[in-house]
Amino acid sequence: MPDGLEPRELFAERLLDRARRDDRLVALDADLHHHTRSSVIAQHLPKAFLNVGIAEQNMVSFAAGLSAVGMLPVVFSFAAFLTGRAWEQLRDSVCHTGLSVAVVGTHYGFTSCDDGPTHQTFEDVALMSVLPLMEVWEPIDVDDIDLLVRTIDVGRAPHYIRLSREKIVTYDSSWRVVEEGLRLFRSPGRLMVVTTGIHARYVASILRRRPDMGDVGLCCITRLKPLPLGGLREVCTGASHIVIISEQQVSSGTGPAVALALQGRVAVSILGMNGGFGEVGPQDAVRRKYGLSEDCVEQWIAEKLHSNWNENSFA
Amino acid sequence: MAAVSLMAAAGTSVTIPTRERHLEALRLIGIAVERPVALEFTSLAKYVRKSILEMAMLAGTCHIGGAYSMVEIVGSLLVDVMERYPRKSEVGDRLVVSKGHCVVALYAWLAVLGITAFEELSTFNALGTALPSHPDMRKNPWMHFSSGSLGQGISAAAGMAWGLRRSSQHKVFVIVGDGELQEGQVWEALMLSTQLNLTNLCVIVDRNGLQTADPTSVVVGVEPLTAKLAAFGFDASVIDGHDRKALSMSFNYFYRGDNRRPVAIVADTRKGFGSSILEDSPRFHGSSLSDEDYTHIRSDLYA
Repeated sequence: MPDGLEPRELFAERLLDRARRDDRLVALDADLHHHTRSSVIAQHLPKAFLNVGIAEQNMVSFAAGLSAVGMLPVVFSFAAFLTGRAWEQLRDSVCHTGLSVAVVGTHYGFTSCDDGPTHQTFEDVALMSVLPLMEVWEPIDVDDIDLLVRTIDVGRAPHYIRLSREKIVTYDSSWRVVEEGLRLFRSPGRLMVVTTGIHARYVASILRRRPDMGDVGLCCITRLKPLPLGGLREVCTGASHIVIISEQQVSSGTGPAVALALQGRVAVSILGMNGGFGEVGPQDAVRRKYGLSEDCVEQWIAEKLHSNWNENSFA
Repeated sequence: MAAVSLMAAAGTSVTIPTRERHLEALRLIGIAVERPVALEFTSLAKYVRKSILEMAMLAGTCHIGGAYSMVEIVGSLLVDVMERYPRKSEVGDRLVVSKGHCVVALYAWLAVLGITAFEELSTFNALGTALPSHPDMRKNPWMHFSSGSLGQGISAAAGMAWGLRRSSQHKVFVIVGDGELQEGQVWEALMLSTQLNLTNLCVIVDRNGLQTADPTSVVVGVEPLTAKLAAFGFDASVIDGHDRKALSMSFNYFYRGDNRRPVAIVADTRKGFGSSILEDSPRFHGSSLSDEDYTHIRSDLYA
């Protein structure tokens, strides 16, 4: 897979740039700043940073209070803690009030395998997507990150941003922007692969070295909610089988959302975490065990490419 | 629709639908308070309680007990302390009603003081209203924060205080219930407030001793409360929450900026204060009032 930049690093750098010019911007972290990289702001612009301590619920409602008096808060923590423990605060203090808070979750899914299942969330997208008003983003390109930092503003809808610690963000002109939140790598033949996050990179790498998969299309959703419906339907036109690959539980989040958006015209298969928890171990080995490594994804796509979908039966 | 028969002045029986009766009562209160500046605080507070009673009957349900316990608290803040009460979009002090189920007391005070339109009180908790049972800042420009799920208000108030401190001298008040202190987030917020030394933050505990159905001491005791707040780094004190003078003195100590630490004021109150049937009764946390209840409470308030 081609080298790239860590989204969390790039986001922090861009946020620092913005904070130097806009003193309304404040980064808040629940004592994980060295891991989320909000430490970049802490180090270079301390007046724009606050470590609230190990208190995610307080952090979120505190951020809402900041927003209520015209500040621009960006809260950081591990995705598992922020979207889990502080879910109700995100619902009531942020979404129900309509106050603008940017919510950054790192170390989701298998992007981190050192700390085990309590830290590895596959549910964060679903938990955030179900909240009224909350947008959900998972950037893969430098331009995506620039957009997210640039659009932090009073009155902007609350938004959750998944930021990986894997080097998945690049300037890659292979990915054409179809509309905001959707990038197209290749138009489909029979099979269209719809991805988010690191799996966009995996599948692009696979398609580049597999000429026998020339009929396989690939796109990446970077704005998971609201789904870029128009563009998604446009790029999937012509495909009879959509496969969705995402570092999420298959039962919820992006997979079912895309399936619903495209229902009636195509067969849908979803690859992700199959209702379980994560696990500790070397990252490649853990990904492979759960079928989400690049080679497992390659095998899965090959199977789908050669499968026979019968519209009179359940897949 | 239920109706009430009244003996009119001429000695004939008149049947008035119940809803009309309460609308009429509210209308008469509105006329009486048209010049709130001329009315004494105790009278204003009584009109606030009368308004809340009618609103409760019109809506069918209301957290009247907890609203009555904080009438003097809210009144003192608005009449004796805050330079002015701003809209949420305006620069100024902030008041967060964290025990949001009792925001009806704030609605009534704002109307009685002529800050908001009195006739709007009749829409309390109706479909599409700007006055829902729990404050909604998206629907009401006079609400500085939304609440309803207990325990989040102090965090939000602390955020406001920290944000305001960078740019102004404005103050932030937050009213919490004593039962609400059972929520863990409250203590997270208190710790951070002390860490940041938010001297422009005043936490007011409406200590009426009761929660949903039982005394707080029976469920999960929060005492010794003042000692706990002091241990958490607050400038903590206890006052009679129905004594306007005591409230005013304590609030203005904070408002003047005489404090060196964030302030916590434990206001000793009585749930349902102002009516003998309501006072200290767990029955009236958040229920409907019967006609009999209404008549009894009304006779207390109009005595």
